[in-house]
Amino acid sequence: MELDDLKSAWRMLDRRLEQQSALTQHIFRQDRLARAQSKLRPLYWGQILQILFGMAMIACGAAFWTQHRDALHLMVAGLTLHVYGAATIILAGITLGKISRIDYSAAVVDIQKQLGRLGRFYVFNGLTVGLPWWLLWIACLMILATAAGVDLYAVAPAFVWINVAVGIAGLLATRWFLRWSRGPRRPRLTKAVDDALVGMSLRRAQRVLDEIAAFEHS
Amino acid sequence: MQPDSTLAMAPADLATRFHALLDEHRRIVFKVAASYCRDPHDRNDLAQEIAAQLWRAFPKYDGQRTFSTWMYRIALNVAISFVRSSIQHDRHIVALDETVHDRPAETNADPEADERLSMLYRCIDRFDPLNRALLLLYLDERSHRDIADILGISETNVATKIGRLKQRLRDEMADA
Repeated sequence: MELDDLKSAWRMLDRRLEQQSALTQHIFRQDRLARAQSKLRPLYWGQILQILFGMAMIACGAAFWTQHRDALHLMVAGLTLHVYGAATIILAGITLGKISRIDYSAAVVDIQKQLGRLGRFYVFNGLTVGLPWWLLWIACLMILATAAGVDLYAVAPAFVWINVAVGIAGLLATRWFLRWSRGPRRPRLTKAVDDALVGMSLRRAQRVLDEIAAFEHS
Repeated sequence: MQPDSTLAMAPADLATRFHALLDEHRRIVFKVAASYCRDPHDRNDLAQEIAAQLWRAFPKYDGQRTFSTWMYRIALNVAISFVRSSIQHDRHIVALDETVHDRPAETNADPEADERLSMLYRCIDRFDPLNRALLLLYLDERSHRDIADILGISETNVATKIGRLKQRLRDEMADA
């Protein structure tokens, strides 16, 4: 088979597809066009949920710290939740902004780059929202305990400090492990960690960006 | 048919215009869908997704641009994203016999033609999504300028890539 044969096969495919009236009717139905789901829709709604979650965190945190300005540890617990809520909203907002800027009528390489970057930012967003829970649960526990009439820090300061230390150690260890596991000498570990901790998303997003870079520069 | 700017169109006119243009250029949708999906259901889903994205983007379509180029950009962007999604990724690789279902009922059986189509599909399947877009545009005999505009790379780069693409095709066909 020569290149010309390939082109003639392509033209044959073109003619065959032209005769597929059922497919034509399928894609032309107006109601179907309006209802068609974009692949980015779940990501969009996920960010909306993240914003609502952030708002709930802010409401909780703000209501708490403004009522306990006299006790530093309680104010810190409330403020921590408040700041975390604001950060989750900001990150979700940036992600939504990136989604809304994707215009499929732009050049293929540009859009695929944007989608790759969106995927990478989405993973960063997930890590930023998820990892602070090494410490945030302590703040939440202090708030819940206070609501039940117990000042956890006053009753058991050692419990709080030990768990803060464990949380910080856990956070640093996670960060170190993520960096260490991505070393060039450990490709199998990198893959296992990516799959388990970061998920397939980051690898896929990075692969897309690498693929585009290779395509542009080859 | 080259449309005027859609920015100031009434919704009913917009829909009529869109359907007329989609009808005229529908083969672009079919060819892109056929190049990226083997499974007939996936292909239909992809054609639907492309049409939906075209419809969403149509109000912002600038009549100064060639409609087919604009359409190719959207169709290829949607198709590349479609095959990259993990769910579809597992589904779009199916036996080549599926291509037999492409045959419309009224067409007489033509084993030689089927074999050529299978060869074409095998060829297309060897390329990654971006190079597949380049191959599709090359087979469709689009100009280097159009290809550069659709893909977002320079004309010189297009010429280089097409040279390599042809060489790769020749090598692979020689090995086949």
